[in-house]
Amino acid sequence: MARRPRKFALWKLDSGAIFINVGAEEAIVPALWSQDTFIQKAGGSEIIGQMWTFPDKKGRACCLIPEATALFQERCSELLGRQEERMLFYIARCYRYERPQAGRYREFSQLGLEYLCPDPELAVKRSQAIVTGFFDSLGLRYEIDDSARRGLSYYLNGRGFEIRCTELGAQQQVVGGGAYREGAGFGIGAERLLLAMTAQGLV
Amino acid sequence: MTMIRGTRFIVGKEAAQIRALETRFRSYLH
Repeated sequence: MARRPRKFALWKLDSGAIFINVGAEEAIVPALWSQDTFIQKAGGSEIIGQMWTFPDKKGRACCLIPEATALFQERCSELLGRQEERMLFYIARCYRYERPQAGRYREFSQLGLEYLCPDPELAVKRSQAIVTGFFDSLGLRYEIDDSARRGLSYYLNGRGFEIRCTELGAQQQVVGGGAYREGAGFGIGAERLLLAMTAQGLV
Repeated sequence: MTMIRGTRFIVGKEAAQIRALETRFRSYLH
């Protein structure tokens, strides 16, 4: 992993409305979901052990969403409708059953974008350009690793990209993303992003 | 069953309307 100079963003990004400026529409996602999706999509990964799971009153296996990408993958054809591609962003509360520590909470916010399209390689390039453009617009210093081994098995080749802010110590990862069968996307940990901005004197 | 009955993805015009309403509520109270 190397610290790279800031990339030139593909789009002029200078406002908080950048996701909309690049053609993304907002999606509001459910916080409650069935466990099946995550067991299938994230099969064998550590996320299963990190979920808040419980049966509902009829004994169905439910959970609080640990992340949102799997939902978009599963509902991809419904979200696309007749469109060939669609870019959606979201602000979602997510839940993970893990030991809380600085910058890691059991309930947290993810700022995410999913670009559903038939060309995941193109989608991942655009996703990266959007998230680095967003960070540049904030004036944030960061490191990007574009061949990170990801804990979620739906990423193509088991790899994706991560963005880290070294000021954060043990929990440096602020963004995780990558290409998957239905497209590509990323999720930003909002609380960590705010910590990184605070550490860099940006807020 | 994957999606819980009675939950849904809100996209398109309705999502925009809800977020606009939230923004109006925030700015009214700030």
